Amino acid sequence: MAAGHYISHLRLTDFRNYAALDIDFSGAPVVLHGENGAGKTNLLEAVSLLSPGRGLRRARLEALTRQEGESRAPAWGVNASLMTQDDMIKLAIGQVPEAPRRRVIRIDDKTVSGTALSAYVTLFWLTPAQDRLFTGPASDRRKFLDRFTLMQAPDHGANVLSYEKLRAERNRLLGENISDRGWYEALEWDMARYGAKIASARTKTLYALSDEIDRRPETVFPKSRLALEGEIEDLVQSGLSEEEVSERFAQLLADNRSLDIRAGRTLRGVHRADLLVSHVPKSMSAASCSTGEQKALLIGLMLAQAHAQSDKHPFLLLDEVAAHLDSGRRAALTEELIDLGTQVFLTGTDAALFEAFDGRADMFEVRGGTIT
Amino acid sequence: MAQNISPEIERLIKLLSKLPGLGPRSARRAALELIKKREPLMRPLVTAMSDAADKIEECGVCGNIDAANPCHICAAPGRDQSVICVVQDVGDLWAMERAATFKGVYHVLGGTLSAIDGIRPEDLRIAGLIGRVKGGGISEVILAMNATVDGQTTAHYITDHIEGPNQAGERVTISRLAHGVPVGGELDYLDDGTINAALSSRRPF
Repeated sequence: MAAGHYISHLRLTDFRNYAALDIDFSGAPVVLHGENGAGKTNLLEAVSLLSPGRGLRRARLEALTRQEGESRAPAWGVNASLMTQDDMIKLAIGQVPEAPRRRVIRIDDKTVSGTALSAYVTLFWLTPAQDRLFTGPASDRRKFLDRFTLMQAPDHGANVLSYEKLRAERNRLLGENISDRGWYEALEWDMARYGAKIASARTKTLYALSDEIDRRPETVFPKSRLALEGEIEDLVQSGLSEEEVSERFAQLLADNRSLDIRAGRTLRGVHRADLLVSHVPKSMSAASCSTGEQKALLIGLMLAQAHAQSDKHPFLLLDEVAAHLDSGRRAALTEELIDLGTQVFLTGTDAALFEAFDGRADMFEVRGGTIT
Repeated sequence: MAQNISPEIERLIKLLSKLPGLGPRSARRAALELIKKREPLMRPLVTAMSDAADKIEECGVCGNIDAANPCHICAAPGRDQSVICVVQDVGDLWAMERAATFKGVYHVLGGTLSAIDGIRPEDLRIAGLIGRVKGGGISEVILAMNATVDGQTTAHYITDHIEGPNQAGERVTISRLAHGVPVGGELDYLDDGTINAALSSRRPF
């Protein structure tokens, strides 16, 4: 038991395929094994809901209530006891039947806003959905980086939301062919201000992560070289101050207005940034690597970020990760996770995939909404 | 949080902020007030809290809190032991007692069934209630849960478990508090659900 900050108890009520579940954790890595569809990922999803946002499946609130045949439970709930250095904190998230569309979050029995959770829980996940991260659309990689960025700059999420709202406004003007200069300028000035903050926070995160990767020893998880591609991010990286970046960005938006009107949308900005990852030992872009190699790169990135953020005791949720790795890498991952010392949740179909833990993990078999 | 506050005060504030109705700001004000009024307020409070911590316990019969066990309500000779009023919490028992109409005894559940709070039947004092009712000598059970979805779900759950004759073959009446127009209330201000409830449980005048 290395972690001084961990979930010691989890209780699920009418959540996904769990009618009522109680499960105790020691702080050691948690291994959940069982057949497909048993509910392993549902459990990870429950844990993922303890951090701000919609969890690892980005599911709608109503989709989370347990369904049996035609009938749906009136509400679901996830309760966790979080052990910290000097305290035990009760986290609750779920629905109340009176307002089934509202997510209710309680910390120590007091109703709070979702962002309050970030003071207690930092977590990130690796799921099979991310297998196409390097070959898929840039927006996925942007979101991936933004999630990391959120851990160092808690207002990053709000800045991205504000920027996106303003961009949608501007796109509406563009689409309707409105040519009110003052209106555009007001929107663009704010867009540029948030854009500069976003680009600067992303750049800082990228630098911190790259430093951490450089510091780490060579392991079986290949090192990645990271680059941020985006013209606003380039301005930040060229050493301009946030104010200067903001001014340049505003100017860029103004200069592009007629082009944007023709396109009916905003063509340039921080919403076009991309995270470029390359495999250092093979000097190859991540997208050209084999599936297994891509997974190993991603794991390396996750581990580096977890080390960079170790003061926040990040929880790692690794869904079906072991299956992609050969036995050497599985053993190496096991040691890395134990060495990391924060609470990690792993799933896999077969208990044998986790034998390298050799008694150093809390092992559970998941079967049809129950756990043994 | 604070840079120059001593750990003793910090701890006091942290504990106070866990009380219902107090956030970090009001906890800081409360802590400051306690320290300012050390002799007239803080020390008596310490004594009162320590006395309460030592002496107050849950009544083994009904779940009320009191220095005596069974509590003074369960032990009162003048109260009708055959009528049990089921309430969610001790606060609700106190509300009933303030109204000073009810002369029976109570059963405090300790909450309601609730998904978000993870409260299940076994977390509530339901088994004790079933034991009391089935044991005999009870003529009526009044369900006085809050008129919320969770409160009413709990009421249904309890009804399912205490319905039917008791061990002695006697029938027990199960009733619930009326839902509807509050005393002094105006119809114009009531929501549809309340008006419907009031209409369907109307009674001869």
